[in-house]
Amino acid sequence: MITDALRAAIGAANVIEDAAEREYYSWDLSQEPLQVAEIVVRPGSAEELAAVVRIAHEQGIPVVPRGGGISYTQGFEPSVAETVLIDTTRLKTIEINAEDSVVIADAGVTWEELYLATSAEGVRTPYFGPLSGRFATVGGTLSQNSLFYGSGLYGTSADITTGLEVAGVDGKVLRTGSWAHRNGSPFSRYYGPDLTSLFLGDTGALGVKTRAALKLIPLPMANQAVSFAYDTFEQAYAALHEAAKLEIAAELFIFDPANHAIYRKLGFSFLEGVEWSLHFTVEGIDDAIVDASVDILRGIGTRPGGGGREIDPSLPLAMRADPFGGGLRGFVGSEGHVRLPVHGVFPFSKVPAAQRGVVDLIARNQDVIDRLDLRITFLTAITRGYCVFEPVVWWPDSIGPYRARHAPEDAVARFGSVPPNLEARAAGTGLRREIALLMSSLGGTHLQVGKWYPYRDSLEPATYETVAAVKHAFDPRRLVNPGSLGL
Amino acid sequence: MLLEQIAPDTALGRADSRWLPVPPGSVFAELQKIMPDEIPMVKLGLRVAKPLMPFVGDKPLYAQMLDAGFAVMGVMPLREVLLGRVGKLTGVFAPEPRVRDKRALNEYAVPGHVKTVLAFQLAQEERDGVKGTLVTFAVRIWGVDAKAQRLIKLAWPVGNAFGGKFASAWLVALDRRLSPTS
Repeated sequence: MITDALRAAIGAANVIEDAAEREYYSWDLSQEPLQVAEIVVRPGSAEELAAVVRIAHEQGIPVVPRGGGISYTQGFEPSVAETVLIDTTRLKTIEINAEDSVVIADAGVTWEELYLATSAEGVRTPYFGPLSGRFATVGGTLSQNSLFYGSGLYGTSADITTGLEVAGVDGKVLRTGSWAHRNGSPFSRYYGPDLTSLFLGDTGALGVKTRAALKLIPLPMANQAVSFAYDTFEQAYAALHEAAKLEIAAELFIFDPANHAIYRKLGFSFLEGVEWSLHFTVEGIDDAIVDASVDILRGIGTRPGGGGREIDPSLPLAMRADPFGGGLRGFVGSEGHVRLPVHGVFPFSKVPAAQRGVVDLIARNQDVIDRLDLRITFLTAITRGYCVFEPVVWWPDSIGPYRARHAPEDAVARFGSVPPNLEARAAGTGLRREIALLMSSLGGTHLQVGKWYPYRDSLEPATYETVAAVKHAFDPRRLVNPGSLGL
Repeated sequence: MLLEQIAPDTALGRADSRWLPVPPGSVFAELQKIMPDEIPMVKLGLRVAKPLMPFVGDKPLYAQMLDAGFAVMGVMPLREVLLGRVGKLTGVFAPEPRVRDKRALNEYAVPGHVKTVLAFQLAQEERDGVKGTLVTFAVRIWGVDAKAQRLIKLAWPVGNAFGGKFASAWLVALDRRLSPTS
């Protein structure tokens, strides 16, 4: 019966009941699938999306919004089988208002599409996307929150958002900030209480995003990078920490020896023999400004006694050249390993303890890691004001429906038929969870909470009760992405 | 574009373009994977060199360019990658300086050397209703001093012809990878 109503609302071609397709849409990269949605719908406009939410609510059926699908914390995996999963990727409208420095993007626009459209007009969003921006959508990213390109200067995706449009369970569309003014536009996030923040990082628990308004800046016409090699993580992190406080680099990150091995194969032979590398990307309106910042960072990176030596900066620049191709490389390792990040968001002072804790945890599990061919690499990156420490756990396993569809053809050809390795999967997912708990014990928070990170258990009770009350106000029957944020 | 910012007006150069029916995001990733044996003239050279130097040709051309002293001088995401190096036209077996960035390339002033920059430029372009990308492979080369510049001018007719064939072959190889039916 709901199927008929959905077909009438958005067209039969956009209501998917095929089992394999529903499985593809229902499972993320986590290798820990929950349920398969009963129906997948692909609305083509904000109005159609709002209609889907209303129809499902009228019939008491849960809805789960899904963006590009390239996440790994079960955020869009249905917690119950009787679910209507809403694929937002047909919502593609982009309205650029360079005069007011704001762009309105539909939830299904990818960061790559947004960058291409805005840069053609000589502007861009300050934070301009995650490494997975070829797939990750604006709506999905704002629900999960994320960082990377531009984050050293401008923060996360949440920090650049001036307003949201959200479909509530009754089918009404709610706008936030100055966008909610009867005669207004989304130039400012603040007009009365900051309702925008409620929906940022909610992992789709409070409503389904249809459109977002984001800040714009002129396209930086100059950019440069500077990179350094160190013998220890502590040396690299000391320099990263000092540089991060200045907020003059757009991207700041540390790679470990295992990452270097991957990039050496791509031609970055200067990484041979480098243990830990630190990379800064600087951007600005002209070379003079950029060069001045590079000189400051060079001084920090090679400070006497700091253990750093300058190396070729080609790596961060090559990443910027194809900024959203990194997500592709992350799908399947060259030996058929699946790769799953697990991160903690920390104040600068806590990162060394987190790194030591993870190294100790790895040492305690070394026998299992060796026996089952698990691997762990590290990425440490900065967003304005704090740090994300992200170990990545790899293990040999079947690649699953999402990777099979989107990984590079050669990887799918080689590893697409590899059977599940349940023992390695149990060890890999278990190690991820142990790392997450370790980070939580050190006060680390998380982006992309989804249904995976221990949000509920980590919060003070009074705060969680408030979050639950907010959920109840928006979704009293718990029909919007039930289980997300533990709600 | 970055190329115009770095190369002086006196630089010699050429540009070769090809339109591909794919979005820009696919291009840089694939461009970096092209192997030497996908370029006919390089393939011919490999047949001669391989028995003597078995490692030759095992890496993508882009990686070999980085190994050969080219460094990334600047990027515009999804629009342009600029590579540059300093070298000598004579004494090719002498150790050559490695410049790490655009400023170092600009400031390098040892007489007798030449500076080379290569740009891979992408522009979104729709043709016959198909969204695609115009890919341009542009080269500029100039001498640090008057003597080096004269040498460059003398060698340019050969370099220009060779460079044109090489660039065209690279673009064809890219097309072959991205549009298998072409």
